[in-house]
Amino acid sequence: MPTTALSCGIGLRQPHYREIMTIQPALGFVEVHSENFFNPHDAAAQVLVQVRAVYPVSLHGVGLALGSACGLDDEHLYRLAGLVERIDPVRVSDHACFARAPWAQGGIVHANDLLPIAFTESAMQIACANIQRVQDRLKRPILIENLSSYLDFADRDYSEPQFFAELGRRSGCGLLLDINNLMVNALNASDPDPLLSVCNWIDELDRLAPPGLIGEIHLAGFSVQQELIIDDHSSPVSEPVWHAYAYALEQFGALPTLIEWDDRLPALSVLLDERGKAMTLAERISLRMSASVKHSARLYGSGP
Amino acid sequence: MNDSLPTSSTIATGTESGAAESLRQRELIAAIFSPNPVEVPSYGMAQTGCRWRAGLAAYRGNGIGHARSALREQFPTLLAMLGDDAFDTLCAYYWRSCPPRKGDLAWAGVELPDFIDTVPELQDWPWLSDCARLDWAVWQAAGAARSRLNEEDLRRLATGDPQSLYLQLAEGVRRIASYWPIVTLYQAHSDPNPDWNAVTRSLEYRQAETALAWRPPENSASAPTVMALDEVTDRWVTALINATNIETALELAGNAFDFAAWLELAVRQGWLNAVIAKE
Repeated sequence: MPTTALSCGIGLRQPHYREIMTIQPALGFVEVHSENFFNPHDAAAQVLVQVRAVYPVSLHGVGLALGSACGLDDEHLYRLAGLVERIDPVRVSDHACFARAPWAQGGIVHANDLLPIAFTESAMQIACANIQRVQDRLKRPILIENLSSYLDFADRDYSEPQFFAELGRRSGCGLLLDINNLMVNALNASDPDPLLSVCNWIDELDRLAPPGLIGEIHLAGFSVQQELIIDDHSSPVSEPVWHAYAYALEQFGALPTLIEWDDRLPALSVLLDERGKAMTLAERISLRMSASVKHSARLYGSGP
Repeated sequence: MNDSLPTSSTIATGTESGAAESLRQRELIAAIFSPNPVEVPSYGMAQTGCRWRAGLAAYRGNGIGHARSALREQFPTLLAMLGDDAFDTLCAYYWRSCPPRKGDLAWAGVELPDFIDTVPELQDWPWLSDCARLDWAVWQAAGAARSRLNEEDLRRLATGDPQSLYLQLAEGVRRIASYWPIVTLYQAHSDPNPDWNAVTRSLEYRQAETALAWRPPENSASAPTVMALDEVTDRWVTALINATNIETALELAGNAFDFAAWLELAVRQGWLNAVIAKE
């Protein structure tokens, strides 16, 4: 899986197309929602080709519904494969969710949402089979993102980190670690110390994950709506998420990192500032880690 | 990657635990699209009471939010005619009554025109569904492949036998026939200074209109264009849509049809995709 150390990018959204191509800021990559570019004939497709000539593009899908027990939509996969062929993305990702299910009146419904899956063995088998189909069709491993979920299922055979570690081991997929989603889930679970809970999640993953499991990190903001924290990507990354990000970098090293912002999209400069903050943090931790590696190597007499 | 993994459908139907996954997914989706919020948690949920209601409300609201954004983009004339509040109410009603079938919101509005015909509260405005059909045609035209007509096609047209030649319309060309003045309404709602008196008169007289929507060629305006078809040209276009050979299509259009003038416009506007010779 191609990963670039200290590569930080932003989500590219339609209102920023023109500005980003005009000023061409230094970015490790840009990420787009795959489904918005499925049609090779529309105006957006032409923009993406221009963007791809300047930046590595990461394709992030929201519609494969990889955890659906009724299987995948062949047409969706066909369109994704066409897009991958046209764009040659640096990474392809989607979510550990379901969205498709049989409908009482006939046929299959697609909820167009990221609905939670149970962390059970049978859900694991379903996800593995679906992921394998996608990877076989795309001829490359994909990354699967952990969800923010507002409901979940009581049955479970795995903790969430166990589930992703095992999913990676069985299917060969990677993990797109969304730290904001971890924070949203901890807050919605009324955890007394959500940051500690997120760090514990990261620790557990670190203990269980096969090497190189994580291929990308997502950072975003959330909002409080009525009784729940909603992962709407509508605000700056929160302080606790920055702390958890720093913690994750210390465990896993520098990883491609994305600033996601979808709702109430601000000026491009705001996204670039957030991306700069992520970059600075990653650089500092990377430097500290390499210094400490050299220090321990010297202590044990095998260093330079 | 593991080659020996079973397919998801065999897991879902083949084992008791797979059936449980299938059931809990079906039930949660049914709750999300239910006409009214479901008070009893669906099968296997961890949350109960107000936490279940809040979580379900988040998913129900999310779906309708997605639908609203997509449909506003896909049906600008309908939105202008209904206004924000009524349009949003229609979106929510549509989303729950005709749940989407694809994981790509570009298709969210595919069933909306037919759905409008079934909504009793909208029957006093019988032109709404045809206006929605025209909006959808324009939306589809915007993403259609452009005309690929080339000089070889035109040479074939000049030298071939009209009995064995067929004009293939470009993918983005759409014809919408209506008993109502849908082109007048469409243009009025995209015109900064519309003549509302003319619009009202056309509705009072039930002025039937057939619309042609198309995506112009790359070197001209990129947004799809809409025009009204007169009766003669409509007979001709309908014949082409029905894959009739040129000679028969000309007969169907009648003597008043000016083929040379139409062809000049068709090439300029990107209506034609190919000239096909069949023996």
